[in-house]
Amino acid sequence: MTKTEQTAQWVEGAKAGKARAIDALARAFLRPAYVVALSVLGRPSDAEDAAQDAMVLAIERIHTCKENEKFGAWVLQIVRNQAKNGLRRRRFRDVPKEPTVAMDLPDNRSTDHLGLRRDLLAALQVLSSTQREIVLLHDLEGWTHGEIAEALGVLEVTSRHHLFLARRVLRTELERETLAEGGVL
Amino acid sequence: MKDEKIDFSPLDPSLRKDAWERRISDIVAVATNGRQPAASLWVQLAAWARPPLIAAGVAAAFCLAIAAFTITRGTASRFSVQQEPALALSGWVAGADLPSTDKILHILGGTYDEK
Repeated sequence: MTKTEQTAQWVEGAKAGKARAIDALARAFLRPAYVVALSVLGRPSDAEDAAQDAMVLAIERIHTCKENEKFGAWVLQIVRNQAKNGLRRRRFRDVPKEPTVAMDLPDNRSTDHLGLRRDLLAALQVLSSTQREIVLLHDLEGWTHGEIAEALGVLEVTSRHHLFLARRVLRTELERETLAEGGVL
Repeated sequence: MKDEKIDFSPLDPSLRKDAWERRISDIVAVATNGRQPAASLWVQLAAWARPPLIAAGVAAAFCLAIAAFTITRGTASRFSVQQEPALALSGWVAGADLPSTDKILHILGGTYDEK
């Protein structure tokens, strides 16, 4: 059974109210949802909340998902909309940028890890929202270009091109940040 | 030019396993609750029940019962007082017997003194 067929089966189960199917969908799509939310919001803690809210919303409205096999694209569009709404609300509230970086980290993570995380977040801001989604879905989530193309509604070749550019820009940014930190020290 | 994957693991929320599992459980719990079949009317009413509402309902029912009882009794007595002379008079008109003077006076609320 392919990944798409498996997803369609879970969606069918979720529509019938089966908790196991809902659990499987949440496990399969919460991380991609987080990635898309992070691409919009740029702040991991906000992205986690937005992804969770969007997943709940998606499952509550799962009967409106007409093509079960395209659940991925459908749910990520919900996440994108939720995240954009969250971004508007956040701008309105005007809270400081990423105040909870340290709190988000597991206890056994080093300060190097924290620095790398901060650098990655800063470097991601240089990319476009689509490039962020593509590079994160590919390199963090492990999606193929075919899956990314289907979920984002772009051609596979476009996905490859964006990934190539995004990685190049990110490496340049990360090297520059590393050099800047070395210079300061 | 190298084009290897970038290590985004510092941004991976699922590394905090407990928190991540909690999020998944919350999603399943909320979604499952929202998808339960609609409860019957009585179950919904029972779910809404609150002590002050129950007390208010009992008080309202008690007041309605008293009001209904009072109105029924009052109407009945007023009806009999108002209807009694008319019924007697119409009975006399319809019948052949002529009532005595004291009966007529009694029905009309008067008294008869033989002196």
